[in-house]
Amino acid sequence: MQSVRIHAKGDVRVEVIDPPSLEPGAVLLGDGYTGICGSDLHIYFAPEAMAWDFTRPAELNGAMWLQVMGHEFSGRVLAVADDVVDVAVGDNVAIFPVHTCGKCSICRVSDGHSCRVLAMDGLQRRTGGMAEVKIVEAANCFVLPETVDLKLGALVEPMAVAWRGVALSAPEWALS
Amino acid sequence: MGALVIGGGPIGVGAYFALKAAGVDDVVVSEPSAGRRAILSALEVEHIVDPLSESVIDVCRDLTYGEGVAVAIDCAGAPQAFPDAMQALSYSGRMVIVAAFEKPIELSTRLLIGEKVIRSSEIYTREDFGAVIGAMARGGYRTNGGWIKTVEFGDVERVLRELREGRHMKVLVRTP
Repeated sequence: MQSVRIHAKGDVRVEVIDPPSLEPGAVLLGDGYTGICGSDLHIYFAPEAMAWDFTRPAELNGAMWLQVMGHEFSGRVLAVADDVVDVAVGDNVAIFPVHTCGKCSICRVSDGHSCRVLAMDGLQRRTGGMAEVKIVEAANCFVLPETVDLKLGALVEPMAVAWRGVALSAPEWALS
Repeated sequence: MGALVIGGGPIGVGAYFALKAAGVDDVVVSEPSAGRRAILSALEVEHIVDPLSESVIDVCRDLTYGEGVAVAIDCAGAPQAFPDAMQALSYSGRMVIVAAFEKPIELSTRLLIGEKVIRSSEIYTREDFGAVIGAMARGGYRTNGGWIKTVEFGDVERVLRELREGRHMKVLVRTP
């Protein structure tokens, strides 16, 4: 299947890789869109200036370059593992790409969105948006209602970055 | 209550939509690029400022009986925009920095006076993710005005360079 992978600074290639196979708790995703983010530009042009070192295994999961690109993505569910109940074949989903340790003080008091060893799909993970088929944890699939199409679905992640900033600016504002 | 968004790129647009979802009547978006201001205009942003020819401070004060806006969301990371935004804030006003700063910013008493709060924000929670999808389903995120473009896998490397030159706003890569 086709994919877009970053090999090194300034080296992005479209190439054929093996498709993933299903495993417990996961779904396979096709179609959809992947947004290109400012951090993708930093990774391509100046990875040395980023907080992460992509040439070494990530502390959380060991992932390093080569990396399928894209952490802002949506897709249509092609298959689900036997133990998956909340997501069904044919659902359109937006992917929550954040993975955390679940054990540190930040993870214990929140959902870990500031976890020190946080890793994201498309940055330091086996999965990224820019692959014809990708494996994603069912728990990270947000099913889209009919009124939210797959293009909007790929915008959920960057829009959530901004939403968080606004939510922190004025706790008294009714954001829901 | 008024709010200021610094920078009318994709995250700035996201901050605008989130502030409108929070029920803020007067949102000022400051953006030096004429092309991006045209997109903001198509998105019906109510107060668009060119910081190179207008005073962001004056616009914010005029909207708030001289008091300044309660909130500023920095989506630009531009050291030259930050001092004006701090001075556009009201007493106890809050600045949330979502942007990445490539160059340091200077703080002075002139900017800090008035018991202001400066807070950083990077990654959203699951709750934020779901709330954005809810707001999208209610029609709160417009995609007109040409701010979103769609490309193919083979275009990614070229588009990364074009984005670096400021030639697009948001680019989505279609999964083949």
